[in-house]
Amino acid sequence: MTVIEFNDVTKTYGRRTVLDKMNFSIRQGVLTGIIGRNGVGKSTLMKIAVGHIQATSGDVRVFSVNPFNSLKVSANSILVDDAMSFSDKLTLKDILQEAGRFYPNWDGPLAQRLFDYFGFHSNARQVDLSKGKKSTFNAIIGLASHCPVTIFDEPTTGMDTVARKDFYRALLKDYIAHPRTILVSSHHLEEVEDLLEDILLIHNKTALFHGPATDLQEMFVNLIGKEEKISTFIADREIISSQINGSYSEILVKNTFTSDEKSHLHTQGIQLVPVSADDAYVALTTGKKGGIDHVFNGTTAD
Amino acid sequence: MYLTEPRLTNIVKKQFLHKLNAYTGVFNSLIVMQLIGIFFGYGAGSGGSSNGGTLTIDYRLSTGDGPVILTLLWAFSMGILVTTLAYRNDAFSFISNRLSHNISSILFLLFASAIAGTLAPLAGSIIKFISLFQSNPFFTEASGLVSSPTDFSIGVMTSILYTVLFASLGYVVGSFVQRSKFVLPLLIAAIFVFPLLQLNMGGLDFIAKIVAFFGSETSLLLFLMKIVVTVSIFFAISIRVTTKTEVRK
Repeated sequence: MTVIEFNDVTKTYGRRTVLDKMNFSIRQGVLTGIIGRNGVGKSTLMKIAVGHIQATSGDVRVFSVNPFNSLKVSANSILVDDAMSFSDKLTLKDILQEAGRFYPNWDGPLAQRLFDYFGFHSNARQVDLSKGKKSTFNAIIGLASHCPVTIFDEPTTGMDTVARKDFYRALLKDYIAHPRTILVSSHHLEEVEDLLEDILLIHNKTALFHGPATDLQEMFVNLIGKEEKISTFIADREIISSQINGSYSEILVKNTFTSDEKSHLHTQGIQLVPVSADDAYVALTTGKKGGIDHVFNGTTAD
Repeated sequence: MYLTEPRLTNIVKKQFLHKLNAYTGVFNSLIVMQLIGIFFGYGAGSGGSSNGGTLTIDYRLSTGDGPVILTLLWAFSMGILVTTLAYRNDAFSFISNRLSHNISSILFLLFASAIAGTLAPLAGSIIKFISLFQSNPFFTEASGLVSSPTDFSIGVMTSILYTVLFASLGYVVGSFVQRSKFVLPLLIAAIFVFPLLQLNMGGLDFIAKIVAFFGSETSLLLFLMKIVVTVSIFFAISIRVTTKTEVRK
């Protein structure tokens, strides 16, 4: 069953287009990672999905209704992000209580255990927390609310390494115990890739890739072998990155080899090494400008 | 995982209770405002002395209006305050849509206005009370709870209704300001330009008419109706203007 559906969704702020005719759908109960570079519209997409902001054009459906101003969507979804704020008159303890009154699936004991584990003080105020602590506190609310659609936008911002690992582990455990549709955005794919079932890769204002992480990996391949031998194979192929280690070259290219070509590569002593999802993601999104090195090489390329 | 089918009334109730907990700062500022009102009401009283040969009359006028006026100012600013970005974002951290947020905010304003409107005349009584002790008077003119309960309760009613009126005015102004950043400069310009225009258009009494519309009403029932209609219009406009606002941008 499809829970979130975007059809030709465009979002513009003034003249700036953030999402451009985006299409994708998320099935129920899938843990999906929303991956993309800074400022590609990950947060915008999430805010549209929970009805905080409205799409400029196109059709958005969450639980088959338009999320904007839908009480049904609001009651069955939660968005955890930096903008999640609470009155400074409420202590952390009060906020957990309030959350319990609002969310019908609220898991009070879990919230309390996480609250204690991460060492929060009951009488502290959310506004006084450090960045990482605030993220952790918001994440606890996101986890314990057990909403059918739970969305985390850069949940680990400011968290230290231990807290990040703990959070992702908590997320996974809670997801297994209470399967639901979860979206997690991150620009650190390597941090979340083990967790995710699907990846939705946002690039150039649109969904560039949507599917299992393994499919993303299989889009690319690393060729390792003697430089002079490799060069004949890659003459008419787009090289995404290359590295020369002594007499061996490591070339990242699109995995469009036929099985004949693959066996040919083998006979020439060239290895085909699978790439990590992270490398594939970088390859897909780096663009053809030659990367940051190009900026510093100062080539007066025209 | 099953889906919840929320009812608007249920969510509004939750939000209203939440706002009672979350907006307590509003009541702190009310107390401060009324204390200032008592201070001014007592201190600003005019006085004097009449000498008619052998008879000297010392008189002193204290007014209980100070707290009421400051309560109205407070109500207006509270109306604006609850429409601000921070309050809206807080509301959308839990279950909410624009309609439920508006309705629960309006209920909160009505509740807070009822409290403030009741306290204002009581604060006025404090001024009378202090005056009574300090100046050892022969004559005092005051309608107190004990001396004339009907007058006093009419006073409280009127005070509540005025407070509600100002709170709703603040709310509608705040809603427009939130809608577009051009509203605020326009509004400030209007405040200065409007009276100037009046002089030429012969409509100097436009504002006076508005004041008279409420102020000269002698029937409590008619006054009540005037307020209810005006306030309902203000709130309806506010709900209409904010129905497309984006939150937590």
